[in-house]
Amino acid sequence: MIDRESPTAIRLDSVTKAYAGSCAVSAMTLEVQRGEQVCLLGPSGAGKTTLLRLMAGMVEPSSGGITVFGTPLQDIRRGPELASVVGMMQQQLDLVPQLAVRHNIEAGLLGRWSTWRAVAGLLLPVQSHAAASAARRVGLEDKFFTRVDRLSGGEQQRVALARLLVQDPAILLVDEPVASLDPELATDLLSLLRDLTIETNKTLVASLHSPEFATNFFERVIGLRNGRIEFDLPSSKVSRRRLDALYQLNGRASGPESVSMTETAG
Amino acid sequence: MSAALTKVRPSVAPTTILNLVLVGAIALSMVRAGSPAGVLNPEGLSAAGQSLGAAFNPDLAPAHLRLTLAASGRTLAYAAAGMTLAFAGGIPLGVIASGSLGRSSRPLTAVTVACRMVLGLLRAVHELVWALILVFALGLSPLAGGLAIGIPYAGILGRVIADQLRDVPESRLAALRASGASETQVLLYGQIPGALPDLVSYFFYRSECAIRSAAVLSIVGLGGIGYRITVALDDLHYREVWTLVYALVLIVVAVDIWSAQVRRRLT
Repeated sequence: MIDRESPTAIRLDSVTKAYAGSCAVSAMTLEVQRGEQVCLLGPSGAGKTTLLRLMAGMVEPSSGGITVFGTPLQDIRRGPELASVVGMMQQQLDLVPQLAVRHNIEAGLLGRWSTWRAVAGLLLPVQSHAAASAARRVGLEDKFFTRVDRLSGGEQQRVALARLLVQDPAILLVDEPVASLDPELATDLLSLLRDLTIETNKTLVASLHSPEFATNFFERVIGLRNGRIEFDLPSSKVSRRRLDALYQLNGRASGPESVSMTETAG
Repeated sequence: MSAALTKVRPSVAPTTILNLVLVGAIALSMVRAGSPAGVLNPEGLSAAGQSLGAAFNPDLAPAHLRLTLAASGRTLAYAAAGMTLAFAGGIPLGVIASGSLGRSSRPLTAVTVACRMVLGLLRAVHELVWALILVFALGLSPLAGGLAIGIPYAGILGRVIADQLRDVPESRLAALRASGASETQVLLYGQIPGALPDLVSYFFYRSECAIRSAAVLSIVGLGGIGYRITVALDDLHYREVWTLVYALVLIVVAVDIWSAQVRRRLT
């Protein structure tokens, strides 16, 4: 049985993931404690999405091991068991546009539902309390019966968040939740995400590419570049210069700062 | 630049050459047939005029209208029976052939391939041929008519269902699986909602086709609009023919209106 009270939520032990010869994630060692809110920060192609997918068990590492609450990830059975431990909100959301908000949120419950309950959910007006309260929590109670393809981008983001909430995994993995939102909506969504994580005592790993949001909403920031950890610091200690180096072109870090960065890496 | 382009593309397209060959063959056969009078029947021209003229003056006598109504009812009944059989066979075969009910296990893959082959076999033979075979085997029974439409249409519907279910983006289904859904639940919450709007409009289109097919099939002796048209044509009762043709058009238009309403409710 998976021990959800174990202090270490996720542990990566020199994990490498290579796609067609190039390394998306290379020899990464990392620990995330239970209850932490961690932000993965870095330019496109830094390996943020691959890292989250590895943690979600959606892709297998090429080498190295991942444990979740002390249990090797590959030993956790796919399906309801894995879904109760880790849940991921992908950047493209993967909602079913033809279905109502209600059904999209209830899709997060499928791991706990029998097939008959799932059929009844689609055909009968027997909504679940969990879905209704998740919709309320993300502010979509008045859109509960609206088809998802009629919603705005920000509202769809909230549907995906509500689906993740009813799935109720111990670890929330969230890939670029605010990439397509204007700053005001992004602030709303990130504070909602943070508050929900703290309220429900969950562990959160999210990827962003805005340093401001990363340092404002997360307690720990991991800077990624070319599949490697450039820095791993409490958000208060993330300096302007580190961020500049992280987003610098061509991978040419310059000056003494880059030396200190390699020291803190990994 | 343009010189390079003309080199790549031949100056005369192969289809043009083929068309010229066909036109030449037709011209040659006309020459072989002798005078144009040998090819065109001058009496046929006046018959064509008569039959087209009757289009503006269909037979609306109560007796013929009753007969048209009965024939329409029979044609509709064959179409409905055929579509029902097509649904009964095509939906399960199509769902299994889509491979949605478990992609990992080997025996299931074999069943999937078998289903795809069965679907191919069903639709390889045209409904008219099925009608001839079935009338031979079962006699002039309503069952033969229903099956003649139902068998090939099950093959077509099943194929379209399988393709539409497979067209739903894989990432959406992966997300459902990641939230713990079983393959059946993925089918219910991901694939069916994704494919349904297109499938519904296709079902209606196929129902139209079934009505037309039923009308044609009746010619082999099963009764209905097509049968009545052949009888009226044999008797040179062109006005009766047109009444029957208009009845067929009305039915197809009615199905089209119905389908538009259903689709509006779905989207």
